[in-house]
Amino acid sequence: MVKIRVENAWKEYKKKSEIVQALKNVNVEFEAGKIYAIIGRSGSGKSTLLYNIGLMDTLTKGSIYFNEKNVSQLNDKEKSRLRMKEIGFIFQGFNLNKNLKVNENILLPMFINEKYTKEKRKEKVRALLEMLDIGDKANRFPRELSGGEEQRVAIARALANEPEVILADEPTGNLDEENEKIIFEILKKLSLGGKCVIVVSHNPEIKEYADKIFEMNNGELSKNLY
Amino acid sequence: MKKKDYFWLAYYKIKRNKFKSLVVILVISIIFFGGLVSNLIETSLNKYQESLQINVACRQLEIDYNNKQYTEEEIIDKIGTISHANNIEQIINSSYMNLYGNCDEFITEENTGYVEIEGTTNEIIGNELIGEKFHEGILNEVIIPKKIYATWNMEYEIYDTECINGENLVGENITIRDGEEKYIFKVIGTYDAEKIYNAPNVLYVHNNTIKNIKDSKNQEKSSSVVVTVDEVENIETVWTEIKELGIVWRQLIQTLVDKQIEEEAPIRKNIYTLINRTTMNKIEGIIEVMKIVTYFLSISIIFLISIQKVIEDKKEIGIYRAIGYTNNQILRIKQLEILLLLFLGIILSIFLFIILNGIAEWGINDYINKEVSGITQREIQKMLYNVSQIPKKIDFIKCFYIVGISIIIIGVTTTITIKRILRKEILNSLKYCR
Ligand SMILES: Nc1ncnc2c1ncn2[C@@H]1O[C@H](COP(=O)(O)OP(=O)(O)O)[C@@H](O)[C@H]1O
Ligand SMILES: [Mg+2]
Repeated sequence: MVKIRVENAWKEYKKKSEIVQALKNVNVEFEAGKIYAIIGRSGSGKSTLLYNIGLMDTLTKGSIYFNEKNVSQLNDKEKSRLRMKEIGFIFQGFNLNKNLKVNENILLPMFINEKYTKEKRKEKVRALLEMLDIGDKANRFPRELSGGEEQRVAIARALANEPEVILADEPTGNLDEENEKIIFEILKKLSLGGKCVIVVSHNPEIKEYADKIFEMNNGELSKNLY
Repeated sequence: MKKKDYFWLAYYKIKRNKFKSLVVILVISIIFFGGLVSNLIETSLNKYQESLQINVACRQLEIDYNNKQYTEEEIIDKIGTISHANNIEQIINSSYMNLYGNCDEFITEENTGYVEIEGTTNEIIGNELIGEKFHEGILNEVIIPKKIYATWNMEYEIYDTECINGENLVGENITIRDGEEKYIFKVIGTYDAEKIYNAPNVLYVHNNTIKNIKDSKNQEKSSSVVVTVDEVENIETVWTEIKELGIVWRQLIQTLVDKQIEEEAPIRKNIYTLINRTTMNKIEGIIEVMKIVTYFLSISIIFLISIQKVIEDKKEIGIYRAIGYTNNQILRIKQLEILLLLFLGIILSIFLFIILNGIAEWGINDYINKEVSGITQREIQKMLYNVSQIPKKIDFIKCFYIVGISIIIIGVTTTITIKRILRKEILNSLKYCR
């Protein structure tokens, strides 16, 4: 069971002459089996926090621990490996590979996972397609799908290597209400299945699904709101 | 990650971006096509020039004269009075001196002829073999062929026509007769004439040796001038006129190329003189410029393509990174993809080239059939840029360089560009293309 701890996290961006403090001494813990929501105004630093947890950005100061192991100090290759095995990322813009069909997009992370044989990969793709209810779209290209379907493919891809942590940055930002619900429900189900799910959203809907809610304000993280 | 999977990703990227890939492949193939064509023209021009030189050589006469009797200026003045002769050049005579036909008959495995004793250049015999020994002692020293087929008269007597093992003669004195004169040499070594300079195993004597002998005997010495005759038909006339001048020493005038070419010369001349030297220089200049422009363009276009391709794929790279591909894996996928495009481009260019070659061949054959008669078509094709053999006539080593350099440029630029993207945060590449 994974446990994530963010300790004294500072992040500053240099924008021309101006320095933006995107994270100001953030301290927070996330546990497995729960779904966390991070809400807040645009530009408050939500994404920055999430990308840093996802090892896609580096903190200016502070550390991130996965199961008490300091992962902010790992090298590129070790971080890549961790992203592959432990982290599934879901983006607002889906970020699917537009040259690959749905099933191939889901296969993509499995190529670099030595634990899968060719047969197991196929099996896994089929299972994910079924679980996310997009089995009939397996041979379509992303451009032929609706936003909701695209996001479900992205979730399938994020789940391909069976990571412990699911990070979602505004996963419903480009979706209508109906699809919003579907996605939130999937995320909720995943947390109930034992995964640690962190969702960034300024959609008030998320409050219904989240176990814990944090608010980001100008780079500072508020205490648990509920 | 398995090799097959890398290939799979690169392949699908190209296959599913058919239009874009095709554009890149076409650009690459046009570049290579240009390279092939300019290379071809260059090679053909070289061939043409060679032919021109043969044509000139066909009309050249070499005249031996006694340099005690006449100075160089006198000879040139005298020859200057002959009509149809021009371009008189002095041949530097010190390294080439012949004692023709004064030895007994000999028999090789194939031919009957005469032993020649030739003065040769220092390079042929090689100082390292004989060193300074030539000038020592009373005896003149010599190195001789490993095998000699001969029946000539020597003090070391050889009467039969068998192959003589030259090595058996090392340390012995041999005598070589030049008319009434007898020269005695001490054999100090052997060489393999066939192997070293692909010449028949004839006895070669070092130039200095002959010079020493000649000087000591106060013999006459010859020099030679080369005269170019304006038209092949006039060779005979010039020949007679020179004989009438009485300047010829010992040897008759001879043309610089063998009989066979001499006979063909009138026919060839008509074709070769279609383009004269000045035009040729102009064409060469244009080709030179074309080549530079082609290479420059190729390099810059290939450079831009590889950078453009990578930048275009920035988001794709970001996605690969986000789902955990390592930098090395991404680098390899992208390099493979670009190499695949390059490979297809090269194949296409060769294909285009073969087609164009076919058309050219067909067109030229047609022209030849209509316009030229008298000599066989194949002969003309051979003369005119070797049309029937164009693909084989490309300088493949140069093409290999072009391909090699392009691959290196593409490899280096893509790697640098990809690495620059990889050095930045993942977010950077994902954000840009939202
Ligand atoms: N790559 C970057 N370069 C410069 N400034 C950035 C960069 N990413 C984010 N920022 C700045 O950091 C702050 C927090 O951004 P972000 O985490 O994206 O906010 P949110 O996701 O809450 O809208 C903003 O002021 C934003 O302009
Ligand atoms: Mg954001």
